[in-house]
Amino acid sequence: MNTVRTLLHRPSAVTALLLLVVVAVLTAVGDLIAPHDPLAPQTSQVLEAPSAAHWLGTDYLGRDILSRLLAGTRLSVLAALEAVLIALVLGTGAALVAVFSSRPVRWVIERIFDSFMALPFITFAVAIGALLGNSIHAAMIAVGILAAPTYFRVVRASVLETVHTQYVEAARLLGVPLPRVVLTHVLPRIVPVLLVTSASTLAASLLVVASLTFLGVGVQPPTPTWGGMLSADLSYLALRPFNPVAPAAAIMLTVAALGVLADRLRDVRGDAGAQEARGSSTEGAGEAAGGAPSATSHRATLVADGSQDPATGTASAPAPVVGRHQAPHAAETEALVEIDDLRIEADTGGQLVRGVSLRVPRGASVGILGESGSGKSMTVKALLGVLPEGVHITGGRLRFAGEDLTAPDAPWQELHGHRIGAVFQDPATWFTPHLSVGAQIDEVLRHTQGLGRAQAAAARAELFAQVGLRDAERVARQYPHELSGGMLQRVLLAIAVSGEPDLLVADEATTALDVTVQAEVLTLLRRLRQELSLTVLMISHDLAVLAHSCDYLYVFRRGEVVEEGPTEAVLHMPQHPYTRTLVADHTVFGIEAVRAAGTAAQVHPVREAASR
Amino acid sequence: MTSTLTPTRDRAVRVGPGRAAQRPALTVRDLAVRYGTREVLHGIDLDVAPGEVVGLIGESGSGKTSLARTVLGLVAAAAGTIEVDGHLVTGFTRAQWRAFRRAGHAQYVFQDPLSSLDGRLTARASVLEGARQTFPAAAVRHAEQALETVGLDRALWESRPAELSGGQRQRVAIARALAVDPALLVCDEPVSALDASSRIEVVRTLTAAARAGTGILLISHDLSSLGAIADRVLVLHGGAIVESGPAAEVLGAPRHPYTRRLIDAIPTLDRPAPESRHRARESGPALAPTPLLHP
Repeated sequence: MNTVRTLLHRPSAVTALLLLVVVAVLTAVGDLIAPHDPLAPQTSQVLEAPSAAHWLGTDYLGRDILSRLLAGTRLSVLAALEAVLIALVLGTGAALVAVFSSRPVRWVIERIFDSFMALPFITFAVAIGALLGNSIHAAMIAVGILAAPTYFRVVRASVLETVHTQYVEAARLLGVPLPRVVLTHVLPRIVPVLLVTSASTLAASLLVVASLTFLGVGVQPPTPTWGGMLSADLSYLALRPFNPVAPAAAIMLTVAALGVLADRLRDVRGDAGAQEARGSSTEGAGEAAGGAPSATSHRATLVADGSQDPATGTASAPAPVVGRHQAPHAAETEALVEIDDLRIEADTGGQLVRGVSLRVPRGASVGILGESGSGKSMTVKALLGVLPEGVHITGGRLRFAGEDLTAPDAPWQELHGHRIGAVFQDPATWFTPHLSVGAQIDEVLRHTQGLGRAQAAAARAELFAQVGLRDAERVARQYPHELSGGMLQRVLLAIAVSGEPDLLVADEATTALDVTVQAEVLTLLRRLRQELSLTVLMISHDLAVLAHSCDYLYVFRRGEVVEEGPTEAVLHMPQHPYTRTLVADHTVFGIEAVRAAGTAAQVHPVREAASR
Repeated sequence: MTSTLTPTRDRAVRVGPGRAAQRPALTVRDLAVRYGTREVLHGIDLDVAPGEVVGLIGESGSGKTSLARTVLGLVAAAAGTIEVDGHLVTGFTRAQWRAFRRAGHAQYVFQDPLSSLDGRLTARASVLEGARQTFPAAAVRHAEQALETVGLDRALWESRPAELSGGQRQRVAIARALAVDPALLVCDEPVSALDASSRIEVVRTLTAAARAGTGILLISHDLSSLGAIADRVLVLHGGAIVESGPAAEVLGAPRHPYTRRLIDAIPTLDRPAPESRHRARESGPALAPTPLLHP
C-alpha cells in the first residue's frame, strides 16, 4: 500500500516500527527467552549490581531484573491492548449507531459519551478494578470505557463527513441498503483514522496500565509487570539507584514509539490527502494527454460530417507544430510581461509547463485559453509567485516590467497588491467568513496604501463606485456569505485594482458565475481596463469569454503553447488542429448553432451527428 | 441496444414488456416546494415522455436543483403531485421510497463525477453497486451492458476515477445510473464541471440513453450543450416556469424577457468590441469569413 511505502521512507517511523516489533515479539515469547526464572526468589543474591549472569542486576528478592522485564512485557502490553480494543469497539459502534439513528437516540448516545469524558481515568479504573475483585480485566474495561469517547468523536466526525458526500447519496438513490453503504463507502475511509487514534490511545493506555500496576491494582505481587517492577525498585532507590531505569525505559520507549508512529501516520495521511487534491490538478495533465485525443478525433469527424472541411480555409495547414500567426504586436510596444521558454515541474516528476513563451505588451489585453492540465494556471501562478508546494520553475525566464521574477530576491512585496492585481475563480473562498467585507478591504488598503482608518473607508467607497457596487455602505457592512458570487467578484476586483496596478490577472474569473452575471463582470472588466488603462491577462477555458475581452490569444495544451495570434486570426483562421476543433466546437455545438438552427430545424445537427 | 436496456425484470414492480407500454417517465402537476416559510417552487407542471430529453434552464437560485431533488424524493413536496414511471411518489413512506429506489425507476446524475463516484471503487465496481440492487441475479450483465452503452473502453473498466478523464468519469456515473434501467434520468448540470472536449462525450452518451427509451430531465446552465440535445426546454425563474417549448424555439427565439436576457448573456465568438476589430484589420492578413464561423 502507498501509505506503508511512504511510511518506510521516514527514519523515525522505521525506528518506531522496529521498536514496536521488538515489543510485540517480547509480548509473545518474553517469558520463554528470559535467562532466569522471573518468579523464583534467590535470597543469596538480593539487590546485586549488574553482572555477566544478571545483566541488569537483581531485585530485592534476588530475581533477575532482565528476566522480569522480558516476562513483564506480556501483561503490560496485553492489558493496554485489551483496553484499546474495548474502546475501539465501543466508540466506533456507538458512533455508527448515533450517526444513522434518529435525533433523540443520537442525543442520548452523545450525552453518555460526553459524561464519560468528565470521569478521571485512573481514579475510575482503580475504583472499578477494586470493586470487581482487584482484577486487571475489570480495570481495563474501565479504561476502555473511558477511552471510548475519543473513538466516538473521531469516528463520528469522519463518518458524518463521508455520509454527506455525493457518492453515498448516489448509493442510497440506487437503493443500496444502509449496512452495505457503510461497509463499501464509509468504513474503508475511517480505517486510517482508527489506526492513528489506536496508536495514540495505546500509548496512553500503556501509561495507565503502568500506573495501575505501580499502584498494585489488578495484579498480585509475584507476577512481573513494568509498573509493578518500578514500584518495587523504588523502595530500594538508595541502594540500587539504577534498578528502576530498565522498566522505566521500557515504558518510555514503547510509549514514545507509539507516539512517533501515530504522528507519522497522521503526516502520511495528510500528505496523501494533499496529493489527492493536487493529483486532480496535476493528473489533469496526464488526463488531457490520455483522454483528449479520442475526444478530439470524435469532433474532427463530427466537423467533417458537417459537410464542410474546416481545413479548406487554411490549405497548407502545418503539422501539429506550434502554429504561429505573424504576430504584429511584437516590438512596437513595451512588454509588461515577458515569459521565455518557461518550464515548471512538479517534484513528483510531472512536467506541468514545457517551454512556454508569452508576451503581454503594456496596455494590451491578452488571453490564455486552455483546459485543465494545460499548464495555464501554473504559468499564471509562477507569474504571481504563488506556485504550490512541490512545484518549481526549472528553466526559462519570467520578467515583469524588466524585473526578473525567477530571481530569489524577486520583489514580490512590491509587486503584490501594488503592481499586479489578481482575481480568481471562486470569489467566496478569498474572503474570511467572519469579517465584514468592508473590514477586509480596509485592511488591504491600510496595508498596501498606508492609509488611515477614515482614509481607507473613503477610498473603499470610491472603489465600490468604480466597480459598480451600489449601496456601498450596506455592502461593506455585510458578510461574505450574504453577497452573491457576482457581487463578491466585484469586491475582489475592487481590491485588485485598489493598488492601481499595471497588470490585472483574471484567472477563470467568471467561471463560477451564472451567464448573466458573467456578462456583467466581463463588461465591468472591459470598462475598468479602459478607465484605469490596465494591462489585462485573462485565463479561461472558454473561448467565447476570451474572444470578447482579449486582443491577442495564446492557446495552451499539455504545458505548451500550440497557437498564438490576434484574436480574430485565431478565431477565423485557426492553424493548429486543436484550436480548430475548439472553434468548430463552438460553431457546431455552441449557442450560435442553436440560434442558426432557429425555429426551422427539427433535429439539431449535433444530436444527429452524435447519434450516428 | 433497446433490448439491452429493457430486459425482463426480475421483480413485479414494472409490468409488461419493459417500457413498451410508453408510460410517461415523469408527470409533475402543480408542484410547490417550501424550505421553512420560503417558497422555492410553485405551480410547476412538467412532463417527460419516454425517450424525451427535457431541458431545464435558469439561474442559480431559480429552483432548478430543488425541483430535481424533489422528483427523487430527496426534498419533500409541499403541494402537488409527482408521478415517476407510473408511480405516484408524492406521499411515499420511507419504506416505499426504499423499494422504489431498489427497483431503479429513477436515477440521478450529479454535476461533478469526482465527488459523486467513490474514489476507491473501480468503474466496474461503481456501476455494479446499483445493478446489484435492481437485478440481483443478473447484475454483472446489466453493469457491463451499461458500460458498453456509455462507450467506456473495456480497458478502463478496472480504473479508479482518478485515472479517468472528466468525460470518462461522468460516463461512468451515467453508466451507474443506466445499469438499473431507469425510466427517468435526472441530470443536474452533468457537463458544467467538464472541459469542452469532454462535454461532447457526455452529450453523446445522454443522446444514446434517450434513444434507448430513457426519459431525461436535463438541468444545465450550459445552454449550448442543452440546446444540442434537448427536445423541449423549460425556463425556470423565481420558482416558476416562465417559458417552455421546443428547444429550437425557446433558445432560438425566446419570448420571455428573462429567457432573452439569459440567452443574450452567453458569450459568442462574434466579437462585439470595435476597438479590437480595428487593431486586427491593421494587422494585415485579410480575414476572409470562413465556413467555420458561418455555417
